[in-house]
Amino acid sequence: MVATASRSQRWRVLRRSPTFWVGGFLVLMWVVFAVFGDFVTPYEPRGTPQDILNRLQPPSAEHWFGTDDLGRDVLSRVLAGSRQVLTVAVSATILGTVLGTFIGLLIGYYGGLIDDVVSRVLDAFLSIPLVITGMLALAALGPNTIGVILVIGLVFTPIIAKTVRAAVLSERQLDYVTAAQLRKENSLYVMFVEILPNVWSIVIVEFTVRLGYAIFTVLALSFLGFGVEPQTPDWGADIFQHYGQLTGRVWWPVLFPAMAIALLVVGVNLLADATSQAFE
Amino acid sequence: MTTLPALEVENLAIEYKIGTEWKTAVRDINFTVEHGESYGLVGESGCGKTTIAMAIMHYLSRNGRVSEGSIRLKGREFVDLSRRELRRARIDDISMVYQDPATALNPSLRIGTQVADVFELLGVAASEHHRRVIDVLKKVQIADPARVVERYPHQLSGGMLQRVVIAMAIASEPALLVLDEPTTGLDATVEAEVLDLVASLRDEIGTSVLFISHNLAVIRKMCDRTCVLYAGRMMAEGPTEEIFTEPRHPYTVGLLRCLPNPDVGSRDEMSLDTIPGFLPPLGAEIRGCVYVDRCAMSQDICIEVEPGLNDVGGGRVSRCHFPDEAPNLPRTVAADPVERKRSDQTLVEIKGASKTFMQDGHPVYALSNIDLAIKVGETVGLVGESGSGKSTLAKVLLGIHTPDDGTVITLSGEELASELERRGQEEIGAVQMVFQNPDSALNRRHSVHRIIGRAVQLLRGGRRNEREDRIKSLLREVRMGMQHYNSKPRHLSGGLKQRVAIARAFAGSPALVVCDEPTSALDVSVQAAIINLLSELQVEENVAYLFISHDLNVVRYIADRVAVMYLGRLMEVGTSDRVFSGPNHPYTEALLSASPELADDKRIRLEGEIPEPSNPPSGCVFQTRCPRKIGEICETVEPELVEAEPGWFKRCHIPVEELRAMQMGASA
Repeated sequence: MVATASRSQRWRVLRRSPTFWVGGFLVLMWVVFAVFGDFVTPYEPRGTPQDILNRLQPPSAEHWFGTDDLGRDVLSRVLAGSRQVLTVAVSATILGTVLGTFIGLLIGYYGGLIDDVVSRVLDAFLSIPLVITGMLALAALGPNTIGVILVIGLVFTPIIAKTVRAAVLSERQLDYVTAAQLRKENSLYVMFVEILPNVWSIVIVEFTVRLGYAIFTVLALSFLGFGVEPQTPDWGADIFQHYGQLTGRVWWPVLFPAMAIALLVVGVNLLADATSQAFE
Repeated sequence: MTTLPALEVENLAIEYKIGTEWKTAVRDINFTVEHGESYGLVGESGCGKTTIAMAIMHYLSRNGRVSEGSIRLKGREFVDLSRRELRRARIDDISMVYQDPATALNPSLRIGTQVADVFELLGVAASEHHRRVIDVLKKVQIADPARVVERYPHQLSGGMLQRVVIAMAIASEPALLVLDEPTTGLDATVEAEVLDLVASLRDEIGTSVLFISHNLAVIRKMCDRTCVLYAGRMMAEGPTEEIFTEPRHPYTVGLLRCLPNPDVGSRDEMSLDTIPGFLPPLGAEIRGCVYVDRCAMSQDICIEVEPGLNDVGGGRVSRCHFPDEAPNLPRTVAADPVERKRSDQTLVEIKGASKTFMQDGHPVYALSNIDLAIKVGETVGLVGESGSGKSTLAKVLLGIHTPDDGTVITLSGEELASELERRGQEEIGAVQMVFQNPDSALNRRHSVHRIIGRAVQLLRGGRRNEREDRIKSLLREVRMGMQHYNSKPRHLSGGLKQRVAIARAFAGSPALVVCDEPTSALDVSVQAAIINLLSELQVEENVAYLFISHDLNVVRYIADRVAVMYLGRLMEVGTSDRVFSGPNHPYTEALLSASPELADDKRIRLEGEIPEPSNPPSGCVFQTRCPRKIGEICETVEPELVEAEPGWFKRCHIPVEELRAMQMGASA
């Protein structure tokens, strides 16, 4: 029999899971900073002309996380930096999930030649390494946020499409799909109203898992200097800018953004674990 | 030692943890399986029979526990064995055979390796393994064990796999063999063979058997004594024959009445009795009798006081305050069947229907030249083993499969397009289907309202309020209350789900509904209600049924005419009476004699398996397995389907009179 965990059952599993609460707290914290960053940062994260006089101050009562090589407050940049990464990662993951789900539904439902051809194309895409593709594409596009979103979204699409396709294939075997044919249902209705709700949980799990990867990829790209306009607070770019100074005992502009990355990624992964447990 | 009972269960109670609470699933279970005895546990789903077996085997899931009582195997306490003792006991003393042999075997190991593992555990020397494996496979009547050991599970049929599993179970000559629905997924012909095998093995090695089944006929054939379970309670216990021939518990009486059987006759003679209501939920606090709200003869005392297991004579006990009145249990459904209108007008005619699938570049002949007509308001039963082409024929008729060129299907005299896409709305609404498994047939994310409503919208159309009215009247027609209007399928019982599926099929006022095993996934009591419902709907809506089933008793009860299929061909077509009373086609004869109700001396057995449809035998396709084969002509010339008597067609070289002589002779 097909497992039919109801919405309320899933909620019960989620509510009881400490993983969910810890992950949720971490992610929510960064979301709050991303949205309200401007109100909570003690200093202007983009810096002011006078800041240059305060270069590379170690952590102190005034600047808890110290200042960077342009004299900007590191704490403010860490808090404000979540906006960049979250916006880009979430948009990219949504793009990949929507496209991937659509393609997966289509090829899983129609099968046959369409499935064969599209699946091979997806496999070909999957064999290209993610960061290299992104660098090449962004080198061509120049540094811009939209480019990063497009690249990561498109790289995720085949992965999600293949997962959704597998789920659709097993749904398609079920008699409710035959029953829909027997009333001459149109294909879009069968795909989106009949089948999609039954593979929804897989889509959600896939989304949370991908989000973790997306965050890493966004930061890796910005560390390499792609996709961020200068001055925008960004963890990856800030680490890149300062890691050369680690040898000079200037650790604070690198450690704090790195910890921020760790906290966010751990949070998202905990959430992903909790959801996949509840949904599967 | 040998005189000790194989299994003694005393005051057994089992609980499951649901959420944070322990709820009692089974309690006060007491029975003894004597040495060499075959003991049956029978009941509908949810009665606790598998739970008891799992507790005996120590296989309860992590949220289950034996809360009370004792299980003794050959006099030794079994409930609190250490892990080591338990392992030893599972190797030496007790074996279990599960319902689905395909999941009981490892798909990636050869049969020989898996059977040899058992001997490894038994401490047999490695050099002996091969010989012992071959021996034990011979014991379960596998004809060619040397070849079977080289195979992987997916290369063998379900019947063959179940033999292998049984072979592994009896290899240690255990004191107790537990069989949990061992034949439920198998064809009737294969089931008959497996049951014969179990019976003969029991005589041979003298093992005791605990046989679990929902199938009353199977239990009746296989067991010396039987326990009837309901809601985790023993309702009746005693010698099998007495339990079934002179039942002293209203539940047993009710179950037996739900079953169509030759004594009931056909639906035109009597409607089936049913058991209304539902099983109480797990852990429900019930003061009185657990069966009280479904019992047609319950009285005040039944609500207040739970009856004990009263001795009712003949070695039987019954958990009922009024065991002597049980045989006179009032019917819950009027016995008089609904009056039927008969018509001679042809509704659907299938002519020359063939269907060839291509598999890896080779043609597979799934259907070959089928001619079949269905009259208005008639029920045609379609029977045959799995792989005989029943479902393919249904799907060709429905337009799901496109048949080969030359196939003509007419509906009320007008030709019907073979592809679904080219059929109009009315034509599509006119030919609908009820599926076997309502869990698969109903979208689990959609409400009842949406499931039926969408079918009404597409097959019937009309304005919104007209459609609403239609949904409500459909729900009334399938005897469902409005409280289910917005329910999702998971909140409905199996019977209610099947009613929703039936309502959907009737959305467009069909002229023909294909019923593909519509009751085989349901419990006995629910099956009876669904069969009654289908019978009544047929009269109300004047609809014809093509009724596919492997249960010949159901077909005999509901069908006006019967068509028997084998390897994509019709072997015999005739009125239900004619086909079931015989003389009939040797294949039909074999199907009929697979029924567990028959006495052994009336049986003929089919050997082997249905041949590959990609490479059908020469001459008559049935000649390779035919028990009545007359000679060379069967191997060289394929017989035609001829009308041997008015309205009775057979595809066989043997003349009717000779068939009669053969078959009547065999049963004398």
